[in-house]
Amino acid sequence: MHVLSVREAMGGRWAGNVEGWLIILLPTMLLVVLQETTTGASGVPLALALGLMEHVVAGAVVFLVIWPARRHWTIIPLWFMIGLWVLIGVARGVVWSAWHVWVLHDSADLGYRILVWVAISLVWSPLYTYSLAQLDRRRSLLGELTAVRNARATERARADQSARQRTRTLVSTVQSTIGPVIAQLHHSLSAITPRLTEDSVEAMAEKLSVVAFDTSRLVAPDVPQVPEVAPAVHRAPVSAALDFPPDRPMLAAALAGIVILPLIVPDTLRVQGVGFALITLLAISVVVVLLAACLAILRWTRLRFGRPRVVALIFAFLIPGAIGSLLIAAIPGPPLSVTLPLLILLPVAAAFAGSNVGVAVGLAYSNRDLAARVAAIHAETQQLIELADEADRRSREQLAELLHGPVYGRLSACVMALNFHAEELAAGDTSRSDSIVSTVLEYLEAASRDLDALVSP
Amino acid sequence: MADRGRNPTVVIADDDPLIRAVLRAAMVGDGYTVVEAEDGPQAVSVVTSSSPGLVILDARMPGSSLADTFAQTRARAPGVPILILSGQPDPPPEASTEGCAFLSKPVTLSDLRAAVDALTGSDRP
Repeated sequence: MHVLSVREAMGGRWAGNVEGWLIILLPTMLLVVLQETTTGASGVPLALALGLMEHVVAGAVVFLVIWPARRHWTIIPLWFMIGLWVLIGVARGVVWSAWHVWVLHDSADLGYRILVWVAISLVWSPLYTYSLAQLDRRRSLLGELTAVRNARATERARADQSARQRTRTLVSTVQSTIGPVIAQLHHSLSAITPRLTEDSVEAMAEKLSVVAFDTSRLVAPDVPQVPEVAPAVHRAPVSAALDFPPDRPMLAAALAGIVILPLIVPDTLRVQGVGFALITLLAISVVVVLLAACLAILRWTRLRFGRPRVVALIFAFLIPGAIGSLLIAAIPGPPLSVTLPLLILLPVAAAFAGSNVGVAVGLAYSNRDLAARVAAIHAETQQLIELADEADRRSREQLAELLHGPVYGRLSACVMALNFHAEELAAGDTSRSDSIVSTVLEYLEAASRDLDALVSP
Repeated sequence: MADRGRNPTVVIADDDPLIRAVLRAAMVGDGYTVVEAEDGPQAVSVVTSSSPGLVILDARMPGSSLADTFAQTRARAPGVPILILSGQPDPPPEASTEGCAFLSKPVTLSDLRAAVDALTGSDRP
């Protein structure tokens, strides 16, 4: 079973995706608002407008670049995507600077702002794209899991059928297909007996020949009884796809710490100085440790008690950042009025980073396990199919043996008798008509009788 | 018409009386003398006693397998052509030996005549 590679995740369907871009509108606007208020550049309404403007312009750049790339590559190469993420950062930085110059009549600060946004984009864009791709993959994998489980149940039931049940099913099929036709032919032959002609006898022989062919085809060992139809795969809902144990809590927390850094540290360093930036770094380190602990607890409770409640998840991701903020507030430094936006930004950033990285890492590992499970069930199903097919083949051989003389042999004899007699009639010889018809009728009756006897318990 | 320069006797070995009857009618109509057998051992026996010019052998008969019947027939009447009839679509291995042909049942009269002519070397007008 295919495991989604990093290249496929980054350059696949979710690279520069419209839905994805719309989903991150709110978090990025919140980030801009908190950044702007942290630096004291503008109030909330203007910061919201700036956030929206940045998102629209960067989105336009993304789609202008991604559109031709999609026509050129099925999976967009990683180098191209890195270039695009840099471009997103540049676009946001340029919009920020332009906004500050023209709207706020502030300094452009272009180089610094581009640098910060490129750093943010380079850690958040791949993380976000990877998470969405893995979530999408998980929805498909869960759908495949249901489909292969259903297929396995069907094949297991088929493989568990006894030889007797199998033969009875086959005989019933033969009987229901062939029986009525033999009866109808018997009736027709009786009806035309007084006025047999070469044509009518040939037609009767032709019909019987078809019945004989059908009889042999229905029990032919190489014809599968169950047509092979690919099981329908329905993608699982997002809620089901998000139900997984958060794997590798330490790794996820460490990565979350890395993605928090460009959101907070550069502006803190620039606005409040090295000392306060070091305090912020210390707080982020504490957040990372607490996040690892929260993810580990979430994993344990998920494995032990099942899916946690949404409230529990929100608390688990907010508490580490909140404690980090309390730590910053507790250490003597700038007044609360100055640090307040940062004290809000840290828990929000930690919650976003923790949940995003937790989802990305958790999905990557659980998808790998899920793909292995799907592959294992698929392989088991194939074995069951082979077993059932082999048992079917044996039953068909046995049934072909049972049907050979009583049904197929008799039908063949009738076809030959009628065919040969048609030539006699063409030559004007009707001397054997009565005996041929009478014998053929007897044969058809005997074939029907034996077929019924095979079906009856 | 059978080539009168050759042995006109045909052994028809089939366990189904109707098939034997229709084959007999066809062969007699073409000028052959017919000797019938309804199982494997009887087929071998009549082949030994009648020295036929052709043997029509059903692939599945009671008493012995096709391989046994075929081998014994060949041993008792070397060089006599054998036409194997079978309900199965695929010819048995014996059908690929020299002087042997195969038809899948149900056979048509024209196929039967063509096969018999090919095996006996008769010229049908």
